[in-house]
Amino acid sequence: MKHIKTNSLILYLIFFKTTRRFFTFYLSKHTARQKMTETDIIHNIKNGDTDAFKLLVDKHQSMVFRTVMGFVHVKEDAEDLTQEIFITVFQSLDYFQGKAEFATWLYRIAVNISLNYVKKNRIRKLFNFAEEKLQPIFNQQDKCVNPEEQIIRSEIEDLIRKAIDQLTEKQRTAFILSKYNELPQKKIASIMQISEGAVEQHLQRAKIKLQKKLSGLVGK
Amino acid sequence: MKTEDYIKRFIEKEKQIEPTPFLRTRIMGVIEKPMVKKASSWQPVIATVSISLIMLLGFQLSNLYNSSSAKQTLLNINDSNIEMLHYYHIESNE
Repeated sequence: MKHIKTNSLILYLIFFKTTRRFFTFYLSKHTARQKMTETDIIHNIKNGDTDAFKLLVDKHQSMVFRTVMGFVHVKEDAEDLTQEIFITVFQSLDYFQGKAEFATWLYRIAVNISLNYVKKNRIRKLFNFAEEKLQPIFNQQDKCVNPEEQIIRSEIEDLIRKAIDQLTEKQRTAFILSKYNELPQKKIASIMQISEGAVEQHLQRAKIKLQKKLSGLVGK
Repeated sequence: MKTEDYIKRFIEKEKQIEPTPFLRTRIMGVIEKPMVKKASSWQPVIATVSISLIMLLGFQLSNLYNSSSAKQTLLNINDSNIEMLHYYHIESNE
């Protein structure tokens, strides 16, 4: 009986030690991953560690999503585009030489893909807007707001959306990066590869254009 | 309310929209999937040309077959001179 007890105790000790070792190893690896710099992550991905790309997605996905939302205004489309952007980034990571910041490079890709998407999907967008406009009227969840007020609100939002969409590509890009992502003009200039003065000019023109288009309907 | 305030409110509303929590999983799913090679734009052209060639070859072969069979028919018609039909004339052989 005593012999069996000793054996089970030894087995228990072996099991305990192995489990502890495994967790210590796993945790140290996990913390090391968390501490990795962006350059290390990119280096690892280039060397075949696909899993490391998760860290880049986690870090930048909300910023990419916000930028895309500024261009497409529809959640589902923005998600699809964000996915496309990250896949493009992964596939062309070999071309990233590290001369510019990774975020700047990523923003550039996000802006280009979004602009291409907007150009291609002008007709489809009309249907999306119609659907979006009708949805809040039929499925009223907010009981406090009366239907008339809700229609007026959605009309105003639609007008703002249209006004933003009617800006020129450069004005729109500068506007979205500044207002949606709250980036400083210096960063916007490096993303758009233009001078800071030019960014300022685009932002000013965008502001004037928006005010002109919306003044009659919303009131100054 | 000023125009700027309306624009600000609109942007804030759009900024509050969050992507689905499964977006990362979706992205990683596509990345980790083995890449399927895209079909080249020449593929349909090559397919059309080869189908046309096969059809043309088929027509040519069928033409060849027709001409040879026609000749054979002619031979069949004229083979009376090969057969010694007069042999079967009982009267003359008696």
